[in-house]
Amino acid sequence: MSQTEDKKLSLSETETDKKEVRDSEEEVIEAIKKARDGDESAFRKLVEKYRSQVVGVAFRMVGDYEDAKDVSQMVFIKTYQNLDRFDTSKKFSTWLYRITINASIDFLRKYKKHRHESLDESLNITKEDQADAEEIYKRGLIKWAINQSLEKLSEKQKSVFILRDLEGLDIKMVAQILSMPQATVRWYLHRARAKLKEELTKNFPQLVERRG
Amino acid sequence: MNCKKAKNLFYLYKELTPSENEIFISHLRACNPCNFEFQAYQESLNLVSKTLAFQEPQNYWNEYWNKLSRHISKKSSWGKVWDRVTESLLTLTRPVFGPVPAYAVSLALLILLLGLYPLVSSKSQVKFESNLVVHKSNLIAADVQGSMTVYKLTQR
Repeated sequence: MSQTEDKKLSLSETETDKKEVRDSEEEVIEAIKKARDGDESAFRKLVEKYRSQVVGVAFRMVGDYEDAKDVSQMVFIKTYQNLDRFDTSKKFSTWLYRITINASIDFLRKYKKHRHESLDESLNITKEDQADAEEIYKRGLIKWAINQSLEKLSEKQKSVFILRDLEGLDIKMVAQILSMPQATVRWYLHRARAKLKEELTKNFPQLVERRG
Repeated sequence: MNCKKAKNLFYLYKELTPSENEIFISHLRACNPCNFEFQAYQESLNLVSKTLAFQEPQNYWNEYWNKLSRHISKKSSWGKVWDRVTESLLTLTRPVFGPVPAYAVSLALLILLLGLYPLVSSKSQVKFESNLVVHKSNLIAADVQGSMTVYKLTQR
């Protein structure tokens, strides 16, 4: 295949991708309009489309699957109640990210401020898992060390780190979600990464030292 | 680029401009200890990302919608106003200054402002300053009455 044909093909693939994104955005706006008029099935479609995104961020923020599920329910209730306020010229997922981050921070302030996950809770080895106990123990230990280190970050540092490094969003989008200038996002990111390394080195040096 | 600056850039690696990135990478190529430390740091970040990846537990979404749908009935406009009021009240209970909640800080500020108000609002004494040149009397005081300034004089 010639280079020109290659270019044409990749160009048409990009255009197809863009069209799909546009169609999907239009579907979302349509569903929002219907949900605003009280159509619960339209809202259900939105929930099913975005619940993994919401729970994923909430899980990284609060560090527990069941707590993340509770937070996500709060997020969708708040979303439904405030649908009238949503500006349809903006991206719905950005708005949802913002609500999720705020709901997770509220949750942590209310329920987890003085609660630290014990190592036993992190390991959580059941009888059925005995065969892989060593592997589960190792993974649990790593998870515990990481969660302990993340807890040392400030709310803003943690939010920025999760959105940029774990969700993989670009700086511009993170700035929009958190309503802060891009330079401030960069500053928090630098602080968060440096602090995380410092804490990981303290809690679990093997994680930061080069393996192999 | 020296090692100190390079280490500082570890934490902004993905955010560097192309020219900064080029200088950073060329330093890593030339400096083994920095390169080694940077690789270790990247590996630890990858491990964090992998460990915190969301893997749906079995039956995680069971009853999810049923539970949610119980809470989302279309609210009347009064219901929405009530929600906003309670939301605002809840905001006031949030800690803003260490453990001190917002309402306590607001109250303290209000009391402070009320206390300062009489001091700020009371008529300040007219400072006795005048360019008036008096030959046969001494100027002893001045007072503002409406739009006029009244000077008090004594004979020399």
